[in-house]
Amino acid sequence: MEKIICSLCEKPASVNLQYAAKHLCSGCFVKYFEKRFLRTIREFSMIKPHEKIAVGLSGGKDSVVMLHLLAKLRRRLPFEIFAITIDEGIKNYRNTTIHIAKRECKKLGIALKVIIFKEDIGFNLDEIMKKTNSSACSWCGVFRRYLLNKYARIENANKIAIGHNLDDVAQTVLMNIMRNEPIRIARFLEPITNDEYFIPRVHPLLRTPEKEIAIYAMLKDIQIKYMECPYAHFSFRQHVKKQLNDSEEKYPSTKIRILNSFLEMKKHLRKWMKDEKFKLFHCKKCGESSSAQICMRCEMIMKLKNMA
Amino acid sequence: MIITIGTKKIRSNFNGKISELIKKLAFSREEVLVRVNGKLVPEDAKINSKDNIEIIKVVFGG
Ligand SMILES: [Zn+2]
Ligand SMILES: [Zn+2]
Repeated sequence: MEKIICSLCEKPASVNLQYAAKHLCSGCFVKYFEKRFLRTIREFSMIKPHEKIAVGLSGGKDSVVMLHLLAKLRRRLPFEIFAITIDEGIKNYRNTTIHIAKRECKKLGIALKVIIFKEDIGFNLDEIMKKTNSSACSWCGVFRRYLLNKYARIENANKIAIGHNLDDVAQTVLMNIMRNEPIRIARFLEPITNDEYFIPRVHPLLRTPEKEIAIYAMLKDIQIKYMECPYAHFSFRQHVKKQLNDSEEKYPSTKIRILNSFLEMKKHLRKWMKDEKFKLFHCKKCGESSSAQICMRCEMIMKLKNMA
Repeated sequence: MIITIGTKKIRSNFNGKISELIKKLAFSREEVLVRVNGKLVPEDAKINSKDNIEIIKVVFGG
């Protein structure tokens, strides 16, 4: 095969970054990747010294790589981390990723809390999907967000770190535009308020393309199992993801441009929108913070109970 | 040339850029990593029938 050399040193290249018009060898890629992670944490002041960070750990490549990067960062910045894994109860899928979550936490010496869906919500995801034919992701997303926030707060975390990558963020922005949800765009990725029930979320991988996370894992020998959630097929997100990957191939930088344009627009959106739109209540049923009188989680549980 | 995709193996005498092979196999370069003779390589590199190719799908959905 033809040899291509690294744009920064003389070694054979392993990676082609089309959006940067660069070829990098393994060593230069790892440095570039870790530097971007650090820069992103600083750009948004995601972690302050001595904070306690709850890592949302699904056991997939994004959150596992983030856990490794955060563990490494502790050598430079004094802060505390622990991980929370949510077990939704998805047969032939979640057991594998939970096993990985446990193994990686053990390897890195990080405490892990596994929260079982059924114990809090009353149903596991497989049971929910037998009751309804609407998208699994909408149920799962609401319950997972709720559980992460609740258990991060119980453990006195200052922040929750979420492994959303550049692809996830660009997809969400596009989906909200396509669904005409400007308020969701304004709220996306930023703490709404300093309500004591709400733990702010940070997204240290938001500038990192999804594929590069897999490259980093391979080069650093982090063992990942690449598998797809069995419920993912039916979602609108899949459609947007495919479109976005097509665009990125033909017009490199599309994803990062969507992110940057979103970050710029958001500043103005927040100013433009009236504060009431961001007002938080405490749910009348469970007491958690919510954008309505009754939170989505309690609303959805009532719906599920009525479906019998 | 042997192309390995997950547990599947196919024989081919493909000659050209890896990115063209990815397209030919109906993948997106945003969702796969390609190893040639055991090493990760850039997708714009040219390969020939003597190389052994491994395609690893790492991005799902879409
Ligand atoms: Zn180099
Ligand atoms: Zn509630």
